[in-house]
Amino acid sequence: MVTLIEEPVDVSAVFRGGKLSPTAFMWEGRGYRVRRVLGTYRVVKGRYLELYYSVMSESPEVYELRFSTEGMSWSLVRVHTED
Amino acid sequence: MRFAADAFNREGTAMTQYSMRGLLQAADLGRTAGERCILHLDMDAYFASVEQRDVPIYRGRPLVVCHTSSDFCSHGVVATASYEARRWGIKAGMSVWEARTRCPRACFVHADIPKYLDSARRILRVCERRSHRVEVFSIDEVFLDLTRLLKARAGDGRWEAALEMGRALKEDIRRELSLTASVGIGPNKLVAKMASEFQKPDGLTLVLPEQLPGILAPLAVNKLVGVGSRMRRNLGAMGIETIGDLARTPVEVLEWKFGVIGRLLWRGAWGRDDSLVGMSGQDHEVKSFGHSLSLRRGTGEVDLLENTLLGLCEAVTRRMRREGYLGRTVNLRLRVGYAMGYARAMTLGEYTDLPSPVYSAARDLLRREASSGIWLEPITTVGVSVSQLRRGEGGRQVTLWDCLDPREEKLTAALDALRDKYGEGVITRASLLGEFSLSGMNLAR
Repeated sequence: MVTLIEEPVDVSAVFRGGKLSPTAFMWEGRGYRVRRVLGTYRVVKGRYLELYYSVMSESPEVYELRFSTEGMSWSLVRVHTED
Repeated sequence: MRFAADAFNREGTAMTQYSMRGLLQAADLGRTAGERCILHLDMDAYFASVEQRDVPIYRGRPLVVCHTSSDFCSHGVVATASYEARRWGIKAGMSVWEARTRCPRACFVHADIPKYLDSARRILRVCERRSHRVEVFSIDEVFLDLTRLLKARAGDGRWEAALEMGRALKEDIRRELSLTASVGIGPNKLVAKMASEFQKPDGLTLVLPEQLPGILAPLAVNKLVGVGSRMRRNLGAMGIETIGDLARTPVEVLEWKFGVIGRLLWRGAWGRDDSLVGMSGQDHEVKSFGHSLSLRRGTGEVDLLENTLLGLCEAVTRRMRREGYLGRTVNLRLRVGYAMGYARAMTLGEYTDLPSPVYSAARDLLRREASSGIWLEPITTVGVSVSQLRRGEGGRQVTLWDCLDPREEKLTAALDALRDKYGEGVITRASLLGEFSLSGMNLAR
């Protein structure tokens, strides 16, 4: 099941090899360590760039994070969960 | 069923205005089929495969990717179904409601067009490493012309080398994108495309020119590219059930019944296709700007088609303004069913880059076609392009249109400024909200 979230989140990320990659994020007061980045893609929106990351933490859920150069902000876009 | 070679020589004059989705153009008749080696790459359940790749909990489960404006995927249409979902009879174009009825336990997710476009660009880069001539046919289909690469090879070695290239291409895509693709190889685009359907998913099929009669003849006629359900019914009423039956039917009879489409179908039944693999993404002189939209199941509703046209004209003129071109000839392209594609054009009195005059011309062309009675099947693709271009440097000439409605230029400039800053989706006409906004076209840069 997919749940649309669209909420700003705090994210720790690293720049490595010319790429940005999230390592942990905080959502609803709980910390999630990024164990695996499953996929990434980018969208150009006007003058701004949006980077999307599908990430997994400890559980099977997949979280889609978005980094936007507009305001240099991170958001949790949606969560894919088992029914 | 024998396919006689001399029947191939019964071609008439070239019909350049008509095409069978670009596959059956009668141009370049000087080539013989055996000279070429074409590869067609077709990604397997593309949207669903990308989602299953990125979200492990969807792997091995029925997954339905939907075009829908509903947060909960409660309505809309199925964009792609995973192979697990297809076992429940779910397929693209079906309503989400019906898909939910067939498999309530399936996972339903929104189509994420920018994500699929990103992967499609990466797939294209892989293909461009393998061939000098690559044509993007759709978001998940690519043609590669291997002819020049295999020129030095002779006889069977040429086709074996093509198979090896097909294997290598599939392996590259699997390794770099974690996706599977089916590959068809044949002497032309039509045969290569049909071959890629023979072994799905993850297939690799070669159809040699000499195998064409034996392979095509026994197939049901709807396996031929260009034959949809309605055309199949029409052909069935004539006793034509297989591609072999179609090839045996005198071309004059098919032309009498279906017009120019009859000849195109007859050529297809013989495995004939002389169209070239077009180049994409190359630096070349811009001759036109165009956009088209596939309408899945198709429609004959003129209001819906006009609304679609409006969105296309907005997108086309937006690109023209961004790249500094004015144009004068408006071309309307329509695909009726799957087989029949044709175009109509109108030349404006003035050069323009504004949406209204382009839309007015395209709409007039559409209305004329709608009343012509030529649409035997629903319209499945609408396309608009503007040609006869010139650079817009030095300012745009004040036109009669500007005098009639001077506000449009100012409004368009304001909209462009907003879109330049915040992206294409930041503002749109209210009439284009809804299904059109889901197409992803308005997101493309």
